[in-house]
Amino acid sequence: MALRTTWTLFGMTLLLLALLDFCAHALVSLKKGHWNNVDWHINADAYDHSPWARDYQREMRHFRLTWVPFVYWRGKPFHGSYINVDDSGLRHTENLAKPGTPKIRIFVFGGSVAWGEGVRDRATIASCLSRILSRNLKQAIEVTNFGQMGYVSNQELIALYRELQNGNKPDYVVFFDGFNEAYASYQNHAPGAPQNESNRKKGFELVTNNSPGGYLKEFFFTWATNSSTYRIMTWLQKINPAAKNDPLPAELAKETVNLYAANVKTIEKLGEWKKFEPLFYWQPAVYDKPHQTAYEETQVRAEPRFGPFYAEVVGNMKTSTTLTRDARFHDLSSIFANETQPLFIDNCHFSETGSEMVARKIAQDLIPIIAKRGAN
Amino acid sequence: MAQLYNAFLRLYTRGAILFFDTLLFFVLLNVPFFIVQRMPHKKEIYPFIRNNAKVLSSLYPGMSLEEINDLFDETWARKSMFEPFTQFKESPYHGRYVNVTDTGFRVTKNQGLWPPDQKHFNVFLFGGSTTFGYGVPDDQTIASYLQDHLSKTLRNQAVSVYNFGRGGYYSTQERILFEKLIGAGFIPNAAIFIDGVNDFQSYDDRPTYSDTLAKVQSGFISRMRFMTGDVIREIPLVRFVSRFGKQYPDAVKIDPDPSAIRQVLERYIRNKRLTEAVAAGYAIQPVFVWQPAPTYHYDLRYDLMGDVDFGNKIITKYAYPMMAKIKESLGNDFLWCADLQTSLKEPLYVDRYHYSAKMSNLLALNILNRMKAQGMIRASENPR
Repeated sequence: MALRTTWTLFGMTLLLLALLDFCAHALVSLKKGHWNNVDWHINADAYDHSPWARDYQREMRHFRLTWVPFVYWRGKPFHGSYINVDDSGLRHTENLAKPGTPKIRIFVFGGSVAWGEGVRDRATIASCLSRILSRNLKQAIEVTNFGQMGYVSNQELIALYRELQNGNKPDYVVFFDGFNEAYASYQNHAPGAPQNESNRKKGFELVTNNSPGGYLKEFFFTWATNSSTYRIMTWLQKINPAAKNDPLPAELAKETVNLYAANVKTIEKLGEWKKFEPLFYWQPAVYDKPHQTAYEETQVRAEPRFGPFYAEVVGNMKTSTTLTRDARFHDLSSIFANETQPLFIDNCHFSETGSEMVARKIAQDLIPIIAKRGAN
Repeated sequence: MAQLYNAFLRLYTRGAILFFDTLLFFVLLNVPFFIVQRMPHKKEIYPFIRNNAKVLSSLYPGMSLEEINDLFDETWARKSMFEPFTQFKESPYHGRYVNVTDTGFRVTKNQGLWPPDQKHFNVFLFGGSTTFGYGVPDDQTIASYLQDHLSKTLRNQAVSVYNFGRGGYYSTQERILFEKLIGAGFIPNAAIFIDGVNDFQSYDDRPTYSDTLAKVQSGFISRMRFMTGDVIREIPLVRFVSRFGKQYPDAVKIDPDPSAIRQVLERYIRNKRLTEAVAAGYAIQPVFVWQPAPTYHYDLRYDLMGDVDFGNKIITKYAYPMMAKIKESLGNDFLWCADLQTSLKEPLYVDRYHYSAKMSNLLALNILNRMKAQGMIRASENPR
């Protein structure tokens, strides 16, 4: 009789938990706008009710990543109206054809901002850059967008090596970084590793250790942490589940910049040897924009712990003698300093207007260099 | 309505009891298997060691079979751990014969401190398990012999050799590790890359554990799916039953496709050039060693294993002659050691691919001679 009651109660409890998670799932979907098949970015004032934004966000929801050795991931091929990713996992760049003229090959590396999260193919930094350069130079310009979601400079360095290893040689290489360097450091409590590194480490050890208890524990942990109930609990606690809550190491911001600077140096050495010209840009983030709109302020408030750390990283970047004395390094963190118009759709991705402004600045630097050097 | 509710309640209660009773029965059924599988097993000498006792005793003079067994145990029972970008490394380990530091290098005879003292002549050694020294104790690895020879040659300067050889590593991983070390500010005087065998194991430039990491990174649904499979495989009863299934995988069928081999060789050469570029930028002198393999210019009559299945590394039998044809074009920093064993009529491998102490020493001597011939040692007498 006792066993009968126990099992009945146990089963009831499980059913109630499942019901609770179902309700939580409905709430999460409602908050994220999944019922409309779009996500919350659509509310960004920077979109200004653009007719394409809703369809763009729908496409974005279906875009996926695939595993690649050494750099971990690249985009899966995708074909939409606004987002197109080729079989190599690279975002489409609009390059103007100039038959019969010598071609200048430019690679653009970076994270999701360089990839163009939030903007259409025609408005990524790579496409804008290609358009501006084509208008101002006699040569044909071919810009390739190697930007990938979440990439840090270490991943970009390896990705560049892989291209060179395969005989794919550029004339110029533009690196657009900063935010992910800081965010990955903040998340991992150590500089250099890509985002969510602890998950890879944990998963690797789980599989290689082959422990039955470990598998079972991880099975339930994965199930629980992916449940909607857990997500709601983390919202209520206003914490970011991906970031650790313990204090960040004292020198982390400095080490983050030092590691980035070391990668800059390595790429420059590689450029000297392989005869390409690299240019490095530190990107702007919503934290760097003094005149924030109400929507942008909500993005700053969304991650209250990250903002101060990001400011510390930017401060270290501005005082790094290795970077500031380097003519190839350009700090664009203040590029939106005088802008009052809405530009950011979250804490790092900006609108097509922002993309155009950044591309114009990069083109300003590149045009005289290309005019002088041409193809290498 | 009340009737319907009562019927549902009865059905639910019966279903719950049946389900949970079955579950409890299954758990209880697994308990004895779990206990048996967890019981400590009596340590036995590996059959490979027992069957080759005579030859192994000559390869390990002064070591008993039990000691050789312990050495093999320390070599093979260790686990790899995750490392960013290179994907894995040797785990830290402290044994009688095998010691790996937390930084990820194997301890060498008279090991220098980490981080390297810039006043020393610092040498970083990269390679796979043969460079790590699978099957030989810490003081008989290529790195340890090189440390000895360099110390005798460079009398006015302390020498520190760091053994970054790691099981399964090939040229792409070594290049990435080299760049990471440099990026972190660890700049040696010389960097030695010992390659050849593992490059052909990673035909498609996908290092070991790539599939594991791909699974780990997959989405929630596929992650749960593969974890469900793993959980089921690890259930004590399933483990017991699966012992009666197929024990060994089918022999690897290798197609020695010349174009695929050429691709691997081209990849090696490109990696070499990129490594040279970075090394030149930091004034590091590199040496690229093409290692000996039992499938090339080695008399297998003297081998412990004889003419056995070399797995997917058998491809070296076809690839090495192709490499031999282009070796002269690879520059002064390329050292061809594949012929090292041609005239030697004795066992030089402690298992299928891994070098004996004698072979490790031979390689170290060849590397030293090349370093001398290139003026690397003389040029580096002034500390950094």
